[in-house]
Amino acid sequence: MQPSDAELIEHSRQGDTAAFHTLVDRHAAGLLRLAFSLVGNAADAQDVVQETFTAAFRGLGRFEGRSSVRTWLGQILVRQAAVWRRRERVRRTVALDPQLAAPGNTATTQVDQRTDIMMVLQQLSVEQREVLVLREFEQMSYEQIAATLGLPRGTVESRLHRARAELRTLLQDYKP
Amino acid sequence: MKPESHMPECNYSSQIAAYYDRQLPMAAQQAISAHLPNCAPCQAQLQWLRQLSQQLAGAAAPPAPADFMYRLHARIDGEGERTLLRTAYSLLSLAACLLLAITLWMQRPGQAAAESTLAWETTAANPQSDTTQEIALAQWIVQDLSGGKAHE
Repeated sequence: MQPSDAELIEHSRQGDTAAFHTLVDRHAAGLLRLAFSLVGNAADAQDVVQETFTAAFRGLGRFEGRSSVRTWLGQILVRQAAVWRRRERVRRTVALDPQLAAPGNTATTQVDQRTDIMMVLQQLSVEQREVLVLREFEQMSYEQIAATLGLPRGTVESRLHRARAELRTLLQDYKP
Repeated sequence: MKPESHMPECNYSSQIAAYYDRQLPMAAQQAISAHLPNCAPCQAQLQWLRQLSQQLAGAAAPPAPADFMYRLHARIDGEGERTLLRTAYSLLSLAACLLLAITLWMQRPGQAAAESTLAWETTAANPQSDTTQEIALAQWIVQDLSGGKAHE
């Protein structure tokens, strides 16, 4: 029988690095999807996932078990994506490279059809995208999303409502 | 997949998303469950939310390069080694602090003076102490304990 995520965390805390590697294998793909939905770039999404697992490894002692391990990892990833966005803003400001800001000039332009919806997602504002992917990809409750993003629950609900409405408009022209 | 825009709004329509997300209190969830079979606009909204979730569930990140997982694991291994080193440095620092504290405590001002004032040390170390009086006192005590005959 496979150990649960919580058991793997406990083993990792006791110095069993192999247990943490199992967690990495278990959650890397899901977190990569979440990261890509938030940053919209394959290479940066991989970096964000790497930073997420590194931060989780350093913060093993802070996991309190009040949420699932997956939710905890998702919360860390959202923070890492926010760090990435701040760095990216600075980098773009400094570089002033017009190609970087050009729409469609990302790794997503040559990916398969399943990632098209990801491109549609990128057209939402960051605020709307965050609540939507935390709800739809991570199955977080409104309370968990509120705690993750540091928002009141009412704001989460209104942003989610607007994100879905906006996506509805965007998807009218989308043909999977 | 878009809900019919011409359909009249329903009083429950603002709660359908929270109902779909199972975020309403139990009583409200049950009330909407009972309401749904009789309300086409709410049914359409619910259906659209399901379709949206299905579409998003099919969303995927571009395939990661073959060495992505290898790099991920290597990063964790490196972090584990750094953690060990940090622990070792912390323990060494703690040991050094303890050693310093003990050394300072041993050499604190007044320590030597306090120890030198002990009476037994002074007496034992004094080669000129007068033992004649001590011997006389000891004899007196022995005599007293033996009934005082010797003293009389």
